[in-house]
Amino acid sequence: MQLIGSLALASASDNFVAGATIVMVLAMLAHAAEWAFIRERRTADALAVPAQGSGREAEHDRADAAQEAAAQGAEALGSHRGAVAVLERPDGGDDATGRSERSETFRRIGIALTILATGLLGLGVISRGLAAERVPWSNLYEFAITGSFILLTTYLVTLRRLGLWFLSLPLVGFVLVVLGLAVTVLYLPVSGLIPALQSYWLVIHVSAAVTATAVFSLGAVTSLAHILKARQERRVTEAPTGVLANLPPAAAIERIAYRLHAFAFPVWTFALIAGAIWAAKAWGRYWGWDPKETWMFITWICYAAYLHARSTAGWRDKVSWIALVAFGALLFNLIGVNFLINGLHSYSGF
Amino acid sequence: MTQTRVRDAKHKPAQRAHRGDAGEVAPLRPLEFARWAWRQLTSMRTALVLLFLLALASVPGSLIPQRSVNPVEVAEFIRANPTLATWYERLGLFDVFSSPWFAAIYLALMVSLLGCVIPRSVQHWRLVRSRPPAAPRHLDRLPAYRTWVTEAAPGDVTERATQELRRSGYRVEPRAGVSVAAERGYLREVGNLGFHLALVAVLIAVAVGNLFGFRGTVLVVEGNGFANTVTQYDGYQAGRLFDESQLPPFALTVEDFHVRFETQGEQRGSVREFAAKVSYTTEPGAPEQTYNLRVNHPLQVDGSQVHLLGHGYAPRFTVRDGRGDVAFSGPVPFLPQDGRFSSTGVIKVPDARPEQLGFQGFFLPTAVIDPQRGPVSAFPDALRPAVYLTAYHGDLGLDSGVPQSVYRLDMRGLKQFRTASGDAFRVALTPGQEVTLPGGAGTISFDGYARWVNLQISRNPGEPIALAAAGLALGGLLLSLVVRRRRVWVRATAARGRTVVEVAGLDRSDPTLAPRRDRAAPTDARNDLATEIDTLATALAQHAPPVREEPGCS
Ligand code: HEM
Repeated sequence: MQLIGSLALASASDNFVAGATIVMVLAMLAHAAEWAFIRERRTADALAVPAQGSGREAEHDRADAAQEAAAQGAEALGSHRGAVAVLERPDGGDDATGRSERSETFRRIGIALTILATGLLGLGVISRGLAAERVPWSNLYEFAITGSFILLTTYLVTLRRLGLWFLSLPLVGFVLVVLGLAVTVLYLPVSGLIPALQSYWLVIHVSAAVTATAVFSLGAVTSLAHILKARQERRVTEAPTGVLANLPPAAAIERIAYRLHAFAFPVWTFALIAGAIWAAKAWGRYWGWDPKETWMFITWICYAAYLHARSTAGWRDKVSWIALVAFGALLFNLIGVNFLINGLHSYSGF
Repeated sequence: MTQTRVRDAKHKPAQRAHRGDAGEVAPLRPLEFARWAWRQLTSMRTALVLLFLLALASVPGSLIPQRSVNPVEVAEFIRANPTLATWYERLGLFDVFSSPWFAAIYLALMVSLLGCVIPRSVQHWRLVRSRPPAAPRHLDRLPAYRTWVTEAAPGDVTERATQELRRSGYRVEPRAGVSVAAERGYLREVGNLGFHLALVAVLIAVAVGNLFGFRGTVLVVEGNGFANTVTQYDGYQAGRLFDESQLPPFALTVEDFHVRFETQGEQRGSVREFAAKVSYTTEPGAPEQTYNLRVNHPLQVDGSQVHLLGHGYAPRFTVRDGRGDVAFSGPVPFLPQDGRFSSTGVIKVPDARPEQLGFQGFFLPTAVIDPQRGPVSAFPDALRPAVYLTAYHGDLGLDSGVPQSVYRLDMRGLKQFRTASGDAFRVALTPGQEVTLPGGAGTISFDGYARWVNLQISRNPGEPIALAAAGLALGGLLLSLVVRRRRVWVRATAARGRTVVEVAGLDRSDPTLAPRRDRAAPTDARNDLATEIDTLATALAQHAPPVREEPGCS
């Protein structure tokens, strides 16, 4: 009887995750439409008002205006619409207004679908845990679905506060890749745990690691956006066009990326310490340079270097690259070490 | 109304001494050179480069097999790639984490760190004991600034500002009727310094563990015991400052061992639980205690820890020699070779007469015959155990004085038994079966099996230090990332019977906030510096309301 319940839950979990993946595809389409309309609008704008002097200056003036309004608590300007509100141009003509409204509509649809997908994914994660009668993060498949869930939740929760609207499309795309890999390549049926994993440290250590991983992923997408935007700002002196024009100024993106990384780094540090405590309990040494431990250390050092570089004269414009290198180390630890290298931790893959 | 601007600050935070860029090229005298070198070593840039080096240097440690992690794999690698291996050996690539070049990097990093952090601690200590610096002349150049004109007297404004700032946790330095200087966030730097010093403490803890700790492993067959002396260990490593006489004098017996494997599903054969029931005495004559030893549940005795690391099978044999005497009887530990516990081992019978006997073979817990590969184990539990042996006679070489592995025969003095047709003599035995060796050299019987456990006994006095240091590092890190360092100034200047109020702030924690190239305002900056200055200004404006006719923009 109990076994049947567990099987039903396990297959329910699979269905929820599949459903979430499909809804994410729709969300991505919606955001793609949103971006397409913004892009057309920007192009139309650039053609429509060439006489306003440097478009960039104008943009900054608007940014300042928005800042003032926001500082005075004028929510009326729609500061919840964040970046795009700032960039909106009231004088763009009827056509532009129509496009801007459509873009706005698609964005709302995209966000609504993302919320729905996150809910489904949450149900998938919970039912997976119930089916296995343990925490749902003890192999790479579970790590991927739980991580995606935390990533999406973080994104949705901080959407307003950090003004992450500009991340919608790349972020949804990123999560879709992760979920796609999870259901196709990484999938594992529900199963029990080997003795080394049967410990409450699994709950503590891995939940911290998966949370940090999720927020670092969000940070990496933001840093990538910063690199692209900064390059555009360096190159383009005219009014910027194309999808990148839709992004807030590079300096603002960089600050958001920093805040995400600065949140995730202590969580990762905690995961590292908890892992060491667990290793001392399970294997009788708190640090043994097992490949997984080594790469966790490398990742930690790289992110420490990121935080360092941010306060080092002459390195500030390279920090986003460092963030991406660090994220590369993080990914290698998840994928490379599990699949290529044999170690005490290898069970977390297959 | 009043107005806030978040703007380009010309103000640059004071350059910290260790960030000096010392770019001069003129020939240097030794002392100057030393100072220059020290400044380079302790610069942020060097720290950054060393951090990258440390990360990079760790990479080979994960890709190339490491002696400290898996000596067997290293041996295999050397056998497979002898030339490459000599180079790896020379470069210390099999022992990356104890190699001199790895140590050079982290020691340089630690020196750089101390050289950076100690002066900074002194500096911060002075700062903590000093008063907030007086207002700069041009407050309007600071990143957040508000101003308005009021009819309230300057003294009222400064008093009000003092109260407000004190309430929000600022250290306040008022000059009544003129200005107020305030600073908060001293804990940020404390956290940062604490974090870095704690990293040094972690390294010290590692060193303490290496010098004063020990670690030994021992294989114990079910029913047998172990007394904690060096001679009983299979493998033993101790720190330079650890003396064998310090080994706690406990003894333990493995009463019984239990293991359960997954029997169905995709992970069939994975171990699900294993536990050893042990009885132990902390010292000779002490009362006996029992403990259920499992993974994740080490036994603590007398400051040492006993961990259950692994398990395996020890088939039992009885060997009679050519004269019919029992020359050997008992369990022989075989070493598992794969996840299904196909295990290999040897039996040495030095007491056999007229010649010594030796056997070599494998044990399969669930033996099945695979059409291609012959006998293999199908499942890790002992459902249908069998042993497959070849036999030798001659001299085992045990008296030569050279230490020998108990898992390998020294073939130099041995001859293999052959059947009449000249083939190698091979036997397959199931429990209870006995076989006679060719030429009446004796018999061997397979009596069943016992299980063995691999125990690790260790003590690491560095562990509590490392734990405390790690906790300190985490606490410091949180402080330094969460606390914001702010300076705020309020100035009240009497002019034409009214008072010009200026409120300005500076964030000393975010390097990107102060000097910026362009005026692009961050979107997340409802920038909390601006917000804070705003809130303060609003609170002040309640008691010193702006005068209508003269909107005080700068
Ligand atoms: C084991 C090596 C090191 C690690 C892992 C490390 C890590 C970090 C981290 C994570 C931060 C950011 C968090 C914070 O602001 O407290 C930081 C900040 C800082 N580190 Fe290090 N660090 C190391 C060595 C050094 C060295 C050698 C120096 C000096 C040359 C140094 C100087 C600084 C300074 C000045 C800051 C503060 C930057 C600011 O005020 O924003 N660190 N370090």
